[in-house]
Amino acid sequence: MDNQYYVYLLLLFLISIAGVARYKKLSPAFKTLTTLIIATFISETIKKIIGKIFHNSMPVAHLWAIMEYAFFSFVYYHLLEDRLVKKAIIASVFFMLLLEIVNFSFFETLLQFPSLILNVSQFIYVLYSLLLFRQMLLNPAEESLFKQSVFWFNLDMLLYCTAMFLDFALTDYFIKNNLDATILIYFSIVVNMLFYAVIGVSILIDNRKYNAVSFNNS
Amino acid sequence: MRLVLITVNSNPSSDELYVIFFSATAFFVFLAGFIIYFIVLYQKRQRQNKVERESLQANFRQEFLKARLEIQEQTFAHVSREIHDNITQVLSFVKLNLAMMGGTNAEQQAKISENRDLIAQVITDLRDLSKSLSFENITKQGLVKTIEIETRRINKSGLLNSTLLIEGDSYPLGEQRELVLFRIFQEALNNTLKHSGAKDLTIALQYIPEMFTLTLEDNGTGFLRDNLDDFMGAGLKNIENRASLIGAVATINSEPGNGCSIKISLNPLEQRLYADGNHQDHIG
Repeated sequence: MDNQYYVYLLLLFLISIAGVARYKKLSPAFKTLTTLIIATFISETIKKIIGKIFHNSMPVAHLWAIMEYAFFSFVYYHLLEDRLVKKAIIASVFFMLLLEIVNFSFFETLLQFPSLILNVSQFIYVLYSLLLFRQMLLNPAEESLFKQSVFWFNLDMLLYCTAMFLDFALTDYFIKNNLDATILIYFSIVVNMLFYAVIGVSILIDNRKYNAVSFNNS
Repeated sequence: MRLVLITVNSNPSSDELYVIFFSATAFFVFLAGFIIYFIVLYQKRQRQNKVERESLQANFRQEFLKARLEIQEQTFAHVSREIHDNITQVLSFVKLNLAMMGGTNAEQQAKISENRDLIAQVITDLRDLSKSLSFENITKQGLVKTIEIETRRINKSGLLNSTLLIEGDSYPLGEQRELVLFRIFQEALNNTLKHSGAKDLTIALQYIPEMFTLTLEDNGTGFLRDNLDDFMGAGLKNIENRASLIGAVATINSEPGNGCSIKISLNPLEQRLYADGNHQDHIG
């Protein structure tokens, strides 16, 4: 597992480098996304170190769960244009913060995996994703869909969140029924790698000027 | 987002697994279907948007051209009126004054008479010019008659030897169309006089029931369109744009050393908002 983790960290590192190299050319949403990837890389590294020293990295996971939600929300804040949705996104960050406090106070302690927050986050990401697909349909850009960073990022989010939601549910079921969940663990690893790889591609193809034009057209 | 490491060593799979795997597969098939549907719908919308955008651009170009033509016609009308009501009147007055001059010797009288003839000639030329500028005159006399007058005027000037051929029984094309066709004719004639160095010009009007064509052919130096400067290129583009405004097609052929041919083809039965005068901003 260690090797896979290092590959995962290397992937995050490479995407961070690509994001930093293209930072000036990126649209605000993808600048936030690059910051998120860098933060993810740092968080995952710290998690690994803390895990090795204290044999439990869950406090970092709790903290990171809420930070990650805030970052992804801000990415969608930049991408979605509806003012009401933007306000709802800001409000949802505070709601998630409150939920996290309630969660570690009453349900999943700081030493337990924050599955509640993650599941709720994934559900909200799917909503964001569907809203962005709707917006894209209402205001189609001139450029080919497959050359649009927004399309790849949003598709990635939709697939990742639904796949991981399913994976969590199945893993839970497998554990409760004493079944071998190894395949699901490998599945989650592959999905994670693919998720970040596609984010890397979207950062590489994103262009501030193009996005400005396509959104203005709408 | 995170990698969760869980190791479980447990019993082999149960029958329920089939249901779970089928449900998971069905879910992913649904998701794949959704994505394919989105892509197809998005591309369809892109195509629709492109068509709408092109249509808007074409409408804008037409409106812009129409506005330009209307301003041009108003300017022509103003110049025409000024020539007719002011300049020719003044010249007539000068001619009259010259006639009333007395107490001069025979040589001076000859000079005065010569000047009176020259002024009379200028008045006639200005009246012709005034008529060719006035859309009222063009619409009143019709396309054939106006082109005939213009051809005679050119021949009289000695700048060019022009021949007018009329084939078929002429029929009215509508005031707007005839006015635009005459302006195209003037633009082409002007180009021939200014740039071609031609000695002969053949003008042909062909009236067949479902097609009208106006052709101007000169024996000038000719040109390659790609080599034209912006001004000349804009003149030819202007001819094409004006033609498209009334639903006609302009075909311009030229080669260095082989003169130039401009052919305007128009289907008189094809309805055009601008050309058929149903537009609120209709000229005149």
